[in-house]
This record gives sequence, C-alpha cells and structure tokens, in this order.
Amino acid sequence: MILEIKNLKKSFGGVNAVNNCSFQIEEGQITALLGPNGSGKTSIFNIISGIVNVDYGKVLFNSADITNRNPEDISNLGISRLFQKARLFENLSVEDNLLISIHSEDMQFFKSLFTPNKVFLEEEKKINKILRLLQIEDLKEKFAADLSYGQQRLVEITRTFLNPHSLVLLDEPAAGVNPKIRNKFAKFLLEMKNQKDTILLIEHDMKFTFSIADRVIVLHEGRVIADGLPEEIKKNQFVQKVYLGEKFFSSSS
Amino acid sequence: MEGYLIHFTILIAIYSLLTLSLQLSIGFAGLLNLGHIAFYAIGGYSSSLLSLQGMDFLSSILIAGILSSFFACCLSFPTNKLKGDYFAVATMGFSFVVYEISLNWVSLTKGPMGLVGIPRPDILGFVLNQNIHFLFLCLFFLIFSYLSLSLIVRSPFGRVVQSIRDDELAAKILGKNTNKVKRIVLSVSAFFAGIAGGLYAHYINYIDPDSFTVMELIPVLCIVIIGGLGSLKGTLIATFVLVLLPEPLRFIGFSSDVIGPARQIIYAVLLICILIYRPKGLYGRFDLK
Repeated sequence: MILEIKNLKKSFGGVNAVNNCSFQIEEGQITALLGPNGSGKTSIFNIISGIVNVDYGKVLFNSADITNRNPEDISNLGISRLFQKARLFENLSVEDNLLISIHSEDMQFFKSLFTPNKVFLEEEKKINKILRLLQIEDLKEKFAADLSYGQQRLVEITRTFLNPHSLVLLDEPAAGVNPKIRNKFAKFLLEMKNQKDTILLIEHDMKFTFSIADRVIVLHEGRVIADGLPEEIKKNQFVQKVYLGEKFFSSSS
Repeated sequence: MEGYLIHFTILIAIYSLLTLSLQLSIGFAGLLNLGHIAFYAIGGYSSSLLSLQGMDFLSSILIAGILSSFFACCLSFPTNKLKGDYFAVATMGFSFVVYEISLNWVSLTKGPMGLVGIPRPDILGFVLNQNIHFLFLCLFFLIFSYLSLSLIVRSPFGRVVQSIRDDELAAKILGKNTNKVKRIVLSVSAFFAGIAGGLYAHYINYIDPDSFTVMELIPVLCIVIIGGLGSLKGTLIATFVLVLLPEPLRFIGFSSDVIGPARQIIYAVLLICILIYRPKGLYGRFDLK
C-alpha cells in the first residue's frame, strides 16, 4: 500500500466537498477515481498534493503522514501530479519545461551558476525515452505557448512522469484531446505501469478508463460509494444510477 | 561637450544598473516590484553615511549593496504569498516607508536637508576626481551586473525563476521551493539597486529623500517594459534610448524647467505607443499580463 486516505473531510463554505472519505492505493496499479462533477475528486487530489488543507483526516504516503504539508515537499517526497487544465510554463521551450521537472539541483543558487547549464547525459536519455514513447521528439525546441492543446497535454504528461516520483496523480489527462492522442495516452500509461509506476487517475471517458484501470473507486457527494474491479463497478446498480447511467450497463454488457 | 557626454554616459550606466536589476524581478520572476526605488535609496544612504564616517569607497558600496539585499530578503517574508497587484501594492508601501524614514530620521539622514559632501570614491588611495575615471568605475559595475544577471537567467536556477513567472503553482508541484527562489531574486535585484544608489550618491555628492520617491521609479519601470520583459539586451538598449531621448530639447534651447516635464510626457507617449503597437517591447517575448 503506497497511499492511504483516512476519514478525510473538507468543506468550502457550506459545501462538504469531501465527506469522511477513506481509501487505499496499491503499488504498481492503475487506480481510477470516478464520480459525477462535484463529487470531490479534484479536491482529494488537491489535498493529497498539498494545495488545499484538510479540515479533518489524514493522508499517509508510504506510511508517513503528509497531511497539510507544502506542495513542494510532497512533490519531493515522490508524488507527481498533472492538473486538470494545461499548466505548462508557456514562455519556456518544451525542453526547458522538461528539464525543470527532472533537474533537482537547480535550487542550489551558486552551484547552479557555476556548473555550466549542460544537459546531463542521463537526464537527456530519460527525456528522449519518454518523448519517443509519445512520439513528440520534434516538439523539443518549440515554445510551450506555440503548441496545440493536445500537444501541450502530451508535454505535460511527459513532465509529470519525468518528475522523480513513486506515485502519479493524473487529473483528466484525456479530456479535450483527439482520439488519436487519447489512444497514445492509454498505451503510454500501460507502458508506465509495466515499468512499475503507480497511477491514480481521474477521468470521465469511461471507455478510456475501463480499458486501462486495474481498480476503480467511485465517489459520490464526497464519499466512496464503490471500490472494486472494473467489471464489478460496471455492474454496480447504485453506481449506474448516480454516475454511469443505465444505458452504460446495457451497452457494455 | 566632452564633459557633457561623459556625464551623460555615467547617468546611463547608473540607470542601467537600476533597470537591469528591476528586469530580473519583473521580467524574469514576474514580481512587479515597486519597492525597487527603496533599495536604491537604502544603497545611496548607507554608502554615503559609511563614507562620511571615513570608510573607504569599495567597502562602503559593497556594504550598501549587501544591506539593500538584506532588507529585500526581510521584505520577501511577508510578501511571499502575495501575487501580482497585491505584491506591487505591498512593495510600493515599502517604498513609502523608506521615504518617510529618510525624511524623518533627521539625526541619521539629516531629513529634508539631505546629506552633503559625500566624498568622491577613492580606490587604494587613488581618488576618482575626474568624471572620466568615475565613468570607468560605473562601466565596471555595469558590465559586472550585466554578466552576473545573464549568468543567473541562463542557469538552471534562472529556468526555475522563469517558471515561477509563468505558473508558480506548477513550479511548486514540480518540487521547487518557490518562496526561496523569489527571496533570492529579490535579494540579488536589490543588491544591484543598492550599488546603483551608492554610485549615484558618490557621483552627485548630495542626496535627499526626494531623489528616491516612488515617482522616480516610473521612468525605470517604463524602460523595463519598453525594453521588453525577459530581455536584458532590450533593457540596456531601452535605457540608452530613453535617457537620450529628451536631451535634444536642451540643444534646441529649452530651459531645464521645461525639460523635466517634457521628459515625462515623452515617456508616457512612448509607453502608450509601445503598449498599443508593440506590446512585447523592443526585445521581449511576451506581453505584460
């Protein structure tokens, strides 16, 4: 077990975004977090990555308590995250975007000035490997602002996976991109899983999600209403009622 | 004429120190730092006071830079969480505080009367009485600051600085301690502003609180924007052009009471034109968001 969420509670004003939510994430799996809009999925991601503080409850990562710590500390402990909206550094090149993610010595001011700004071979190898997997090697020199939305998402996914991590949180990676790129994502995520990555995924594209997820957790009104294998979740009548819709059941069975 | 040219180049060099260092915090880190003039003031006053106490020039100007840097570092703690306009307002407040202190702490700063008789620099016993020597000193500091700033912005650290300008939260999520980066940027920027203040004081031999009001920052800010955000080269060229621009008025025979306001009008018109026709400035890659 790599991540454990224990009795999380978070309300914004009078709205209980997360309401006594608990679940665990196993290592080496792709786990999908599903639920209708407003069910608290992104809030849980924000809590795990330290952007939002909790009202009550605990987040344990590799058995260490990381509740309410800084986003940068949590990232350095090994949780990498992709946002729901594109958040590249627009005025930097794709390569710089990726180097920021992979390079950890850039925080040492003097060392960073006097070691020439060369790309260390190892880092370049890692970057090229992922770029090749996603077939976007040709974007390296471009400025992030000049990319299309789909390309930006591809670069962002690359950046998320280059950031040293043991758990990756992906918030709707396939939303708003064309089917071709979506297929690329699916293949890429499966490949990353084969390389022992642990992935927690939020996604509304059910075909995409059910084709790659090992396990599905469904949220409703801030709490877990179902947790199990994809096949079990598809058949769960309550999940169908609040989220999937009854048609989903008849078309997929 | 030669004397006038030298005087003029000295002013451009001192101004460039101020604009280049402000470019680091606005154009590279995205921090709209309106407290920059306060660091210029701190540098000017500390270097003058130390020299008047008999300290040698190099030590006093270095201490002036370090003191400015120290105050910037302190200022960064309460302002670290502020973004955009809020940061601008908070730092502008700091400018007012420093101005009021320089005006009212009469026993130290002589208040509105200002400090007189600030000595010309002497380096290892060699007194820079002639302006041409002072010019070389200023050019030395200018080249030093230009090289250090370009070294910083091209380094991996500089990459993180620019990532904060584009999206601070995304930088945090990648594990960067953005507060530390902003603190270093403000301190480095203030260091050069402090040096500029010291050079100005030792050149003019007189400073008073009115040399360091927020209004004095407006032309500096104009230059940074006209030069182009995120471009050191653009800043240098813009400083040269904009300091030069009002000068022909002098030769046409306008008196200096006209030149002051005329300079402000020229800057304002130029800024408006730049924002309409070339929002990225001379060499910038992106516009003011």
